[in-house]
Amino acid sequence: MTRPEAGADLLVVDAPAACQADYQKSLADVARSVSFANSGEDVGRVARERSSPVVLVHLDGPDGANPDPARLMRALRGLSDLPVIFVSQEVSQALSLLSRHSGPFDYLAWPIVPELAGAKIGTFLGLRRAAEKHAELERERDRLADALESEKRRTDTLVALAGEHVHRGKNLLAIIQSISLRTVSDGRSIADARSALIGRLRAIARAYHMATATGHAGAELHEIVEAELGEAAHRIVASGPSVRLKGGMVQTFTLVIHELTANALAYGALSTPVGSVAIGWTFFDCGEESYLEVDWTERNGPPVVSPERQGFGLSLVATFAGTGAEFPNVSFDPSGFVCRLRLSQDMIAAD
Amino acid sequence: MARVLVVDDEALIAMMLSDLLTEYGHETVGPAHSEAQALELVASKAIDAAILDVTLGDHDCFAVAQALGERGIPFAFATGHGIHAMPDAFRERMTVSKPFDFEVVKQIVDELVAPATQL
Repeated sequence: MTRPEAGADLLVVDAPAACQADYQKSLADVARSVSFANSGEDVGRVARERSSPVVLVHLDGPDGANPDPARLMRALRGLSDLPVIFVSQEVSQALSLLSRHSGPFDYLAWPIVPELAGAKIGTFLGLRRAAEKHAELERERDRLADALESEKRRTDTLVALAGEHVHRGKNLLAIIQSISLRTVSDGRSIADARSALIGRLRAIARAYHMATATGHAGAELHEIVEAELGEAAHRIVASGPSVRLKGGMVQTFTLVIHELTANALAYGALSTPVGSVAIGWTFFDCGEESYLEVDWTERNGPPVVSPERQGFGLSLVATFAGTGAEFPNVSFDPSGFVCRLRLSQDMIAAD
Repeated sequence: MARVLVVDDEALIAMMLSDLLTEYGHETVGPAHSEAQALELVASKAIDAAILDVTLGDHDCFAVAQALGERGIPFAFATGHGIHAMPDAFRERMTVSKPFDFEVVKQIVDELVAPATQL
């Protein structure tokens, strides 16, 4: 018969010295090694340390007498759930003890017939291999379940992200719709409308780039202002604390600054060589609420004239950061145009 | 002429709706850009109808929808999301998709303000 497992190390408990050579000989075909232990020792620990696939318990005393029941029970307690083969001259005695062991069991008649021992030990080795395979499959199953779970979470995140992108895209189209509608219905010439539309779309594109560069985490206010002032930057003094606007606010705020700058260049303080603009922002408390106030102040420009109708820029300013009737957003003060934006806390990204 | 509340956190989109309402001969209430602002307007102003953007910054507009529903004020949603993103309670409501089809906006506004303009 072939060896069931080349690495099997067998442990035999309570084999009398006179029988040990026979054990070595009869088990030579199935075991790599055979070692012996006394039930007076902690045989369970010994068996586990040697990782014996099955423990043989010799029931007969040195003179062929019946086993000591107390000694046997101690050995079985130690072996608990390990597989055990009882060996005795009296097969009936071995059979009567089988039920005393809580783990898998079998019996062999003494003297041992090597082929029979090989078959029975082989069965236990097969059992152990099956159990090991089972445990391995369980680990593999758990690993796959974990991998599946994390893949599912990843997919969910991607699906949500894709949905979010579609939403942002539609929103952006609606914004462009709004800008186009206003730009062509403001009563300007086609050439004027074309240049205004291009300027506004460029500002929106810059804002979109700024907002997406941080993964929609918003943009620093001074960065938005600096990007929008462009060529007029050297005539505009910008000052204020570091503050980050929320992603959703960046586009509109950018467009507000774009409109203010374009108007200052076309009709306001920047339309003359000596005019200047100051933009400053600061936090202030109003009752229980805290606001960010952004002030755009023009000086030394041409005489200020109130426009006849509210154009795109003024409508946007009023809608974006309406401060209420008691705090007008814009003032066409003769000494210079002033615009005051009040941004609520929910427009500002937390640090 | 009807008074129509506009709720949208995007000023540009609120502006467009407001412009369209003016064109249709109605008056805009708001626009409100946050849930808190919208709730305040619903509680304090005379409103005949409302158009609500579903997403308001970190919030949604469903508390506002609830408040309007309790007062029996007709409203429609404006959204860039699909209709499947709606809670069951509001799925039957009219929805106008972004970007807007102005024909659809006109039809929905007409339908919303019909009870108010008949008075």
